[in-house]
Amino acid sequence: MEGVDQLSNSFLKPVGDSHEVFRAAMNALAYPAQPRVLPSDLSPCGPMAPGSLALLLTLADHDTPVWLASSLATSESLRKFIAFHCGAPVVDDPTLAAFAFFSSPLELAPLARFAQGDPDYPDRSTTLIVQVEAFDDCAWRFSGPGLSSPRSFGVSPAPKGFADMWTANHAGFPLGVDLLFVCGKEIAALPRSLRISEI
Amino acid sequence: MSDLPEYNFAYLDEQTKRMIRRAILKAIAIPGYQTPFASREMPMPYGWGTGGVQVTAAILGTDDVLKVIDQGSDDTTNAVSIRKFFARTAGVRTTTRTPEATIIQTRHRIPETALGEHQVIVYQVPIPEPLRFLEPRETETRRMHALEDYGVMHVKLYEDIAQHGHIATAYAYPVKVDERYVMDPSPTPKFDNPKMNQCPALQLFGAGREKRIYAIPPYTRVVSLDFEDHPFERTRISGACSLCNSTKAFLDEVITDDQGGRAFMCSDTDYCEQARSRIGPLS
Repeated sequence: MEGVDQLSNSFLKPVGDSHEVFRAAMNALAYPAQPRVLPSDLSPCGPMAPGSLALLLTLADHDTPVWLASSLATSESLRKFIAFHCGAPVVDDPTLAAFAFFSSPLELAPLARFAQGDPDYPDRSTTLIVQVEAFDDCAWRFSGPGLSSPRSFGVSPAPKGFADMWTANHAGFPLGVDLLFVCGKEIAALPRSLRISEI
Repeated sequence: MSDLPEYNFAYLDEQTKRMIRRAILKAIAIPGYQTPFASREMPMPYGWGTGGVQVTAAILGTDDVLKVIDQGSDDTTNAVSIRKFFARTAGVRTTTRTPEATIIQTRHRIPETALGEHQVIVYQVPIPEPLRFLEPRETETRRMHALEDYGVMHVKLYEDIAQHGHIATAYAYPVKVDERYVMDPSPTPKFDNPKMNQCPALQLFGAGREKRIYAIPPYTRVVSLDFEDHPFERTRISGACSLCNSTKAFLDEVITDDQGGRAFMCSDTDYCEQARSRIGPLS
């Protein structure tokens, strides 16, 4: 792709780099709905942005089936990248996926098609990793664990009816999916524990 | 070849770290829920903090500063060996000062100094299931958590009142996290329970033998279970530390001779040392 050698498009320091990316993701979930730095020196792979690739390399392996939104699924180079660098199986059934990747938040709906977890094991759910064009802080208001006071947060382009989607996702708590938004070298997360209200 | 490290950074291999990291992310998203993980055999026996060590190893980076405490103390066997373990396998800086640490691994105390957003506290947990002594079957306790069926826990606390006139549970006092999961705070004295509520630091719990990881995100409501007519009480030996005179810190009883002599001192050694360096030695 565009002259980038995808075989060498990986972490230069696998141990240190994946640690930094994990801590960014961990802090994003712990202090949700606020963008923070996501370090990544990777090149894009087809339609997949470097930030998403960094999360893929950090979290996915042969134990975690990966699902790709249609805009990503057609990229042959991305499938090769996942096979070579992660060994993660790419699945068509979203209920089997540990991670699902999107190149745009407009592809998100419906959230209920992904694994929601089991009442006894709510952790058996899909984590959604979504590329966005920008973070803005005026669309929705969130409250819940990780937030000392309600916080406004939004993504662009904003998916239609997202507040209703998220209300339904939270209503099933502890079942539900968690969202990680990636924008360039920033990450922000919405764990299922957050409540939403529209501004 | 001699330049190659003896271990991967922080002992665990990268695939194991990924597995633990995935469990940590799920645990944060579902506060108080016990996430299963494929706990590894560690070069120390169960009961010495293998769960906490694995959580610490999975989140530790070269820039971190590690503090390890055992019953509040930085210099008891468990704390010293775990600190040395990470100094050797990760080469990280260690400290005994609570404010300087970015990761604090603890066995059964929460430091007296308030924690901040830059910190993560990792608890070593022997038995993560708060309902285990009331219901031995894992299949049943799972279902009880799923159905939010916690009546039996209140019955247990009520039986305390019926027998002793007050809630006699003094440590591992059950809490409810964000109004959903009942959680075992690990065997910390109940004196420490209020520190978990709305804490700015992320709190992670690792149980190695029981293969569970759970979490309390920052700024999360953590309520100790109680009754309207028997509210939760924070208990502490009344008196002052004989070293620093603190009347606020949690005290340990120290036997001083075989004639029944005893003294009390702060359980949190760093807190006590800092207080002493401010006021000078007591006469």
